[in-house]
Amino acid sequence: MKGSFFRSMTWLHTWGGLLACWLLFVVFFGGTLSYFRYEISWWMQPESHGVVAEPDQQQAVQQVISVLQSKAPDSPLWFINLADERNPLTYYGYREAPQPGQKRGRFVDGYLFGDSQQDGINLRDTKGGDFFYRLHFDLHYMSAITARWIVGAAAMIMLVGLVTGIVIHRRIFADFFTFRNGKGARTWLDLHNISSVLALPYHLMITYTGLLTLMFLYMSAPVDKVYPGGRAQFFDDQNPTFQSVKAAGQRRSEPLPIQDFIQRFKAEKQVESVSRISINNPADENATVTVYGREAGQIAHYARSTLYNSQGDALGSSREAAFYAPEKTANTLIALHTAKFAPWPLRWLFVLGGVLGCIMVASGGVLWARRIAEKRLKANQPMGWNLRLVQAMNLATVAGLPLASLVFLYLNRLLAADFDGRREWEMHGFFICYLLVFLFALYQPGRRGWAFVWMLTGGMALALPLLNLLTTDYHLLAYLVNGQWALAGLELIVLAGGLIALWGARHCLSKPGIAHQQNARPGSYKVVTQ
Amino acid sequence: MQGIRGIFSAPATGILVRIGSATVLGYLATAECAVLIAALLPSAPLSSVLTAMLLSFPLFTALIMWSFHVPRAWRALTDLGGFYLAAALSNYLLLGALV
Repeated sequence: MKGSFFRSMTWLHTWGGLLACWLLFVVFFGGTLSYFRYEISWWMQPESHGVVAEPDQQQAVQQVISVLQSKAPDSPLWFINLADERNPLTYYGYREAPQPGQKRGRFVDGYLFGDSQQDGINLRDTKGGDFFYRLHFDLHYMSAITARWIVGAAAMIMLVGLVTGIVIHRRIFADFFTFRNGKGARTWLDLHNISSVLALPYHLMITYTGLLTLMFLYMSAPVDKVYPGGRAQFFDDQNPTFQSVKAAGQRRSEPLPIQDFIQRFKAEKQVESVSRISINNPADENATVTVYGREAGQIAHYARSTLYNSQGDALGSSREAAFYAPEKTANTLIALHTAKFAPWPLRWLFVLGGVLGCIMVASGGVLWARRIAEKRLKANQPMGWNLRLVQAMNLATVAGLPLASLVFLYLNRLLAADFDGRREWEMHGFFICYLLVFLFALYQPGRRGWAFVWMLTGGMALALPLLNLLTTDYHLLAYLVNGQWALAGLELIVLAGGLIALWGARHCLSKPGIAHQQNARPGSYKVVTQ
Repeated sequence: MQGIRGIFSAPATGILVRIGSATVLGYLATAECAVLIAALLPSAPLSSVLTAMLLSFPLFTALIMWSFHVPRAWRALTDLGGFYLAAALSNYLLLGALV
């Protein structure tokens, strides 16, 4: 196209990037926040901020089982997530027996409190950090599968964008050190280059592995057509703990010896602690129990797990010892995406990569608008509605999403803790804010608009610890004194973000931008630019 | 012949043809090719299926770039279409099934 490889790839990079950049920003932004998924969830349930100590696991299992036994003795499914370094609460859930006309019963969940292990304290209902996690591949207000296809298409554009970006880049090493400030589009290009090149391995990794996490949706043809027995058989063979055992219809006389199963599991799989337990038909003769180990110090993303029947015989067990090389490869690549293995210093490097990804995508979008604006200014053309739309989308997405996230956190504290729709309205608030910023940006897409949104974001961010102090029994200093680094860290990050936002607002106001020049009468722009 | 080429060379049509080739034909060709790789690899099915899936995304990327690289838009159609047909035919002969 257009004569040369370089030019055709530049075209593809530019227009593919423009098409997907806002969605990609949402994905990068939500994905980056997902590195703090559990910390955000914890912060958003202040009723649990008194928890300090991590409970004894054996005791926690005992207590959660007795809670489930009293609440849902006839449930078809119990589910337990045990507390760990990042989750101070023991989580449990159960499915109610289906009502007439229902295929499956309602899923009910709750928490046990860390050191005291008491049940019955009501945590406020919130999606918490899971909101950002889900947002980054399930989006919102649409079916998850539709959303995953859309995000998958954006991820392919991202992958193509990265590869074309590399091939059209003629001075990768030099651009490591190149940043020309105050040069209009040139400055944005430098920022785009620096953020892309600095974290290039991260960008390639996170995009490719993101596609791999959903490869059974995106590229299922090989497994459907070639694997004997198709996809269902593949999953059964790959993970023998995925078996369903039918209920016998006879009640058990004794409770399941789950502690014994855990002991056996730890010995057989050589793990020090357990992360999850799920129990099918706990009241039935044919109950089954699946125990999942916690993988300390291991990268590959798979859970050592074993499925036991009610007598304690292993019906199936994860095959980590018999993995084929491609399985190990896929597991490791997917683990690099989720970064569940990453301890805090490494986690921060992942976060840095994610932030650079956000900057890469955002600067790409802004660069496009800036170039067109300069071109039209030079040719003395009107700026046009299409440029305004792109500018508004840039502003609404790049500055609007942090603001919307703050609205999400604010609503978490401001909506009544027992308000029925609070979980939904926290999320509606996020999207309403996004929409309002977009409408505002259509009206004011220039530097002033950016400055206003950054100022609002900065103000709300700096006031967040104050909001927490006023609406809960806890505050930043208490978190620091108690050594609750997750909670203190969240507020400190928001404070730092607020300062950056205010710096951004000041920067936007410090000189007249192209938005001012566009208001100038034709022919007089040269005077205005100086 | 010149007439057909002319239609494909018009800028807007050309771009649409390239986008269509890259997405539809590119995806189909990738899927067929991944099936072919999975079928041809001598390793255990579990292993070869996963290998093919891991390789499919770089391949798709290359095909997308190819359909924007070729100097004439109709080439995107013929190249990716040809690649798809070749992979599909091989699969048909090997497995007796089209994707």
